[in-house]
Amino acid sequence: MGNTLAQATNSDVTLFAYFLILLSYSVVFVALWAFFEMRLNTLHRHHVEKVQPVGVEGLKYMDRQLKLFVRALFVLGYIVSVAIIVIFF
Amino acid sequence: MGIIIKENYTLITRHPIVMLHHFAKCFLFFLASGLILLVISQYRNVLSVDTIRYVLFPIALLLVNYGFMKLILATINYYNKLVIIIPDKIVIIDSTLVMQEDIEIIDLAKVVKIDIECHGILAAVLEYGHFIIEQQRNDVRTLHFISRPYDILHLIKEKTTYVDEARL
Repeated sequence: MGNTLAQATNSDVTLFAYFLILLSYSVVFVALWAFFEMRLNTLHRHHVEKVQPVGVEGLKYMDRQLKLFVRALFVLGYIVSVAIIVIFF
Repeated sequence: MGIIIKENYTLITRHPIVMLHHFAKCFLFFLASGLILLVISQYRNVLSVDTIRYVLFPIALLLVNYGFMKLILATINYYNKLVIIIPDKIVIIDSTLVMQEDIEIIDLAKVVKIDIECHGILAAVLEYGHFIIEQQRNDVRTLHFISRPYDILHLIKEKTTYVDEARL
């Protein structure tokens, strides 16, 4: 049988805090990522609208490369941060 | 990266050394965070749990995230500072993620003077420099850290000749 809230041990509270930190960090991270993706799409659309019809292909290439780089950095940042939380908290 | 030459346009980015500069700045934050994590792992028995959990650990985590955010924003700025040369115009795009969204279109016929500044050994070896476009009424536009500025000058000269010939 599991402990009730009143009987929660110190390790239970630590585990709860640990998951709370991971969860809140993940939620903030995903929200930030979504915002960045949205803004990058808007920026790209504005640039294409201004430059059309010449240079659209080049802008698309730059946008693809930028998004790839940004996503890679986000994933790397998330992995490093979660590793720090798991190892050092 | 640097210059993308296509049939009817040329897309120019800033030199990759700008990214290297940003990366070096962010690396300092990673280094500081690494040092704090090293202190935590080495002195875990000496330091109190509260000091580690509520002071050192949050600082290390914040430093890593700040470094990554700075690097991501710098990358976005780098990829959104573009110059596009089309047959009779130069389009200068200068945007950041949120704060700035500038687009400037310069008519090549109104360009009266073009200067290139390549100062230093690195600029000469890695082929980058400042590109200064002077328009009529002394409007000056400086583009910093442009890759292969002499090739671009040559390209603009070709386009300008094309424009002049078209007018004749």
